[in-house]
Amino acid sequence: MSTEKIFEVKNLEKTYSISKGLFSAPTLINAVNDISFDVYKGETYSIVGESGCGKSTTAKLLLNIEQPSSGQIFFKGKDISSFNDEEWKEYRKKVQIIFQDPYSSLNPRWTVGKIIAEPLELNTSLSKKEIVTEVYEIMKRVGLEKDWYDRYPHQFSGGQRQRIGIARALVLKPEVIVCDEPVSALDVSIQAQVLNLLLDLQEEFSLTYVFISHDLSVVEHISDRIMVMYFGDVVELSSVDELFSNPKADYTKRLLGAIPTI
Amino acid sequence: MLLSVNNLKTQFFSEKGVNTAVDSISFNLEEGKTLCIVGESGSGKSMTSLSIMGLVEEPGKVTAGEIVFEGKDLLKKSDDEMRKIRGKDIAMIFQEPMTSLNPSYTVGYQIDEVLQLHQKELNKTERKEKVIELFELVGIPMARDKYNEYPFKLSGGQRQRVMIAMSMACEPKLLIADEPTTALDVTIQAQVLELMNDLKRKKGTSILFITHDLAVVAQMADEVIVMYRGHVVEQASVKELFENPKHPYTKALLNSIPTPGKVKRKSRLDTVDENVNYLDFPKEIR
Repeated sequence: MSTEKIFEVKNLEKTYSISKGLFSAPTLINAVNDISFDVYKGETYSIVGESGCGKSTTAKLLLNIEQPSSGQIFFKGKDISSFNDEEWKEYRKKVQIIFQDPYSSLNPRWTVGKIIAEPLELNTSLSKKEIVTEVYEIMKRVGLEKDWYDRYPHQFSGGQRQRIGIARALVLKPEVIVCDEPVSALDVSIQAQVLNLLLDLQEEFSLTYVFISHDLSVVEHISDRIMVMYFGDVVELSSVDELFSNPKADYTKRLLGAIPTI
Repeated sequence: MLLSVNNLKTQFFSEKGVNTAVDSISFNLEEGKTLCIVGESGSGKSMTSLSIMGLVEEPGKVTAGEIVFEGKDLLKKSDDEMRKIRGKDIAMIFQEPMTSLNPSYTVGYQIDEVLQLHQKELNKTERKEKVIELFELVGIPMARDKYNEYPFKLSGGQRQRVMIAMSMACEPKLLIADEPTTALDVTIQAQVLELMNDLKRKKGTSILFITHDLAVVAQMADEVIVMYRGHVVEQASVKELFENPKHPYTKALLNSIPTPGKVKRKSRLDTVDENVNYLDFPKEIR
């Protein structure tokens, strides 16, 4: 792990207003409540917590799918809200996402080749031929066979689909991949394969992962540092060793106590 | 012996041929015990439970074997007789509490319906009191107010509690739970598992628990069967299975989960080899 900061998040807040009806005032919900953290280059930074704790909202804010109500996100030292068009384009290449559900996140009417090629078509000036070469190369790297280029997502198993999602995220040679519960929809044996692949790719391309999960045994296996969220707040933030050997916050203790163990 | 499944075979018939989802499996479940069926997608674990409930739908069919429940073969019973057993003597909890409740009836009414069907001696007020009692038993807060709520108003954990309350309504002798906590958060999962163990202790209910999560198995089971491609590849007591797994598939499955303390952090995990047909190894039934 280096000391170079990829993300610096300062006092980030996201509030949703929920309208209760025509004549009553809307209720404000703090999905993310004044959180600050740093992510270093090459590390796996995990965000854990239960449904509704704000972990996915935090991911969306990092990816700029949602905009913060207040606070700042710095990417390599620069506030992303001050980006110009050029910088945004660059940012979208450098920060990618792998989604949870490989069944609903791939377009069922596109071939595998088209799904993986699309980011290249949109973000680079490569020729069609060069794109095909790149796609073949990345397919090979994530363990998809060449002949599968013209197949459709429904012809694949869950684990293979997740590989397609990984290939698509990887094809632009990003620096950061936000992994939103990437293995929770998979069987344990397939989960192991995908985790192994993510670990290999991280070493090979010096990737930084922001890893979102509710599965603490997976998190313990792959993380360097962990942030525990509860109802929009960060309740604990520490190294993986520290968190599992000496949890401080009551909620973390409760969470660790609730995991069934073998 | 409460339940004894012998050489059960469930097959699906299509134009492409016959697919055997459950291939001659046998196991026993004693009163007041929990038997876990563990396996991956497509191993036949859910189809086993649906076969016991008599809920296998076309083009699937139970083609051989027997399912002896309290000394009688369920496969020989008529649809009418099965309907009287389902919900009363054998109840089932499904995986998704979101989709297995009817969204257009109140949760109270949906449990009341079970009592109307199976406990005809109770009148309307008695039934309502019983439902509220059940809600309290499974730990639904403000049980009386919740009676008139619709499912969408409840959280996932509360909905699963309603499902458990429904399955417990007639104090079944056998409770079949098919991945009952897979859709829930860990803290809620812990509560639901504790609740099921509590009911087992208090009422002596036998539980057939289906899951892919080995850690949950370790917490719930007395006896475990491991299924792979429709077959039982290993059967053992929970202690033996985890301390001394014998079948290569069971070992591969256990090694593929990152177990803190056992596996070095960030090391590559062992995987179940897709090129190996684990059925080639002898079955380990203990």
